[in-house]
Amino acid sequence: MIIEDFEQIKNNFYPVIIVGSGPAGISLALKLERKKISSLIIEAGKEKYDLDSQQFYESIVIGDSISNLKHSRLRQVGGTSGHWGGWCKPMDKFNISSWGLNFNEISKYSEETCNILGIENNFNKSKLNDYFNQIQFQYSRVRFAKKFRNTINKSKYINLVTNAHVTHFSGKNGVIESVCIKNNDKKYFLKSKLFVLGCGGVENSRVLLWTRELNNNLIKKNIPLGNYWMTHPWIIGGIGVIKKDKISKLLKDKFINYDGPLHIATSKNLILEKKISGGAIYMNANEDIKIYKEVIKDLLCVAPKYGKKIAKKIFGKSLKCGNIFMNLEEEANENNKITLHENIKDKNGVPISKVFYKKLDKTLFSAKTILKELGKFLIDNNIGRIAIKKEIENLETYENIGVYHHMGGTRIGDNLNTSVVDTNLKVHDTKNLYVVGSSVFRSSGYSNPTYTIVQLSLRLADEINKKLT
Amino acid sequence: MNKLRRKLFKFSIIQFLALFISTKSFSIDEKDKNIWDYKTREFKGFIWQLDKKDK
Repeated sequence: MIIEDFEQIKNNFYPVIIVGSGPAGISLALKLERKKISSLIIEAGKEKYDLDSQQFYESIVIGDSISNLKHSRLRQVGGTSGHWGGWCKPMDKFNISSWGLNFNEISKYSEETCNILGIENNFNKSKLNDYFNQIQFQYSRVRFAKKFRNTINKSKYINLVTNAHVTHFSGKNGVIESVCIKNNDKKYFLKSKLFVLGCGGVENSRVLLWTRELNNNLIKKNIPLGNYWMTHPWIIGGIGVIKKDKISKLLKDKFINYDGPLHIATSKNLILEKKISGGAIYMNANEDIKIYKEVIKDLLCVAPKYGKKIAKKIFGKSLKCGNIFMNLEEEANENNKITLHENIKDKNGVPISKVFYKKLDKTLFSAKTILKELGKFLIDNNIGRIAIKKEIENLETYENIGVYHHMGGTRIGDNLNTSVVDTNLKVHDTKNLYVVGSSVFRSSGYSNPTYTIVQLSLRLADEINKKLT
Repeated sequence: MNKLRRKLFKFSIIQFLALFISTKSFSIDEKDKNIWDYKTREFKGFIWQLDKKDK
């Protein structure tokens, strides 16, 4: 059921309250429904995009510039899935080795995750050499609001209230008793057994920070709340030509042949040997013709004989030519963090987010190393040639064209000094407060986060089921 | 007969060692050789990674 007026439900009791109706919140509620557990999803935004509601995402960034946090997220039913790119891939096993989780604990939810995201559970990986793999993403067209609206509206177990702004949690001795909600200028306190915070990679930290500010006995001072915030730097690392047919010959039946960009990712071996962060490079399925021609022209100038051979294949299906895009992993850094602004508050009286963000040298060193090694691999196997941006390691000119993936801030782990939630996603030293979403990521990997977000939500549903039964 | 067998056995061990050492040293040579197989050329703000033989 979808409700707009909070008055209708203020006296109801729901055993699980979920804050946020993005991929994390909806996936969780859908699985709880299958277990016949009632939940209330509280969405701050409306059913459709609303400029006034979006104003609540106003934030200040200190340090290096990132994409505007007011526009890169959506405050509406379905959350940011309303405008996401749709690229999906599970994180690599070694990406989550520091999380305190066994990889199987989340990979067992792959089939269910794919059903929700409307994609095939097919993420092939073919070894190109010791350093690189050809990898496969799946492309999801799912907008959560559109796909699940009717299901939620008809559901006996899922209730969704819109335009309800969660400001903080209240309780004592680690027990959350209620969540404070503002709706149409009225304030409500709603009680429940379990509370799940799932409103995004910035807001999760913000709500918890404000809760701690109001009641520092509820959430411990020593946990690194808001810290280790990360994003996925997305850069153009260079240009180049890659003969797809040569990769096909090399990999034989293991070649991943699908329409879409050519994706090549770093292996664990390369990351460990060169002491770098990971990353994936991709070359577009259909590159801009102008750039395509420029690259061929440049190659004809630097290596005319080789360039002529390549020029014969121009616009052929087997030739990938143009910009080399890179999805990079960003190392978790304690100084990249979300805090509350000292003076500026939103209309509900909650301080806006103040994000400290500094680009890391290691990210660019990694990008350069990845491209250098890729260049060697392409030469050795006569697959192509690439050119690395001369200024690739210059932090001043480093242009991050991404920063739409917000991760960390409430990171997972066993240690109270270095993490906020335990491996069951429960906030340390609380009895009934959980966090779900990319804010719990302890490392970012290079894969887009939504797939892992859904996996974690499904796992949390099982945990909640155990707890309630 | 036994003498002959022993001789053949020794010979096969020597043959194996010779083959093993030559393969090993060849692989080291190959690895070192790779370093000199590449060249770079700067052009319009990009550093092209090229084969030494690229013309």
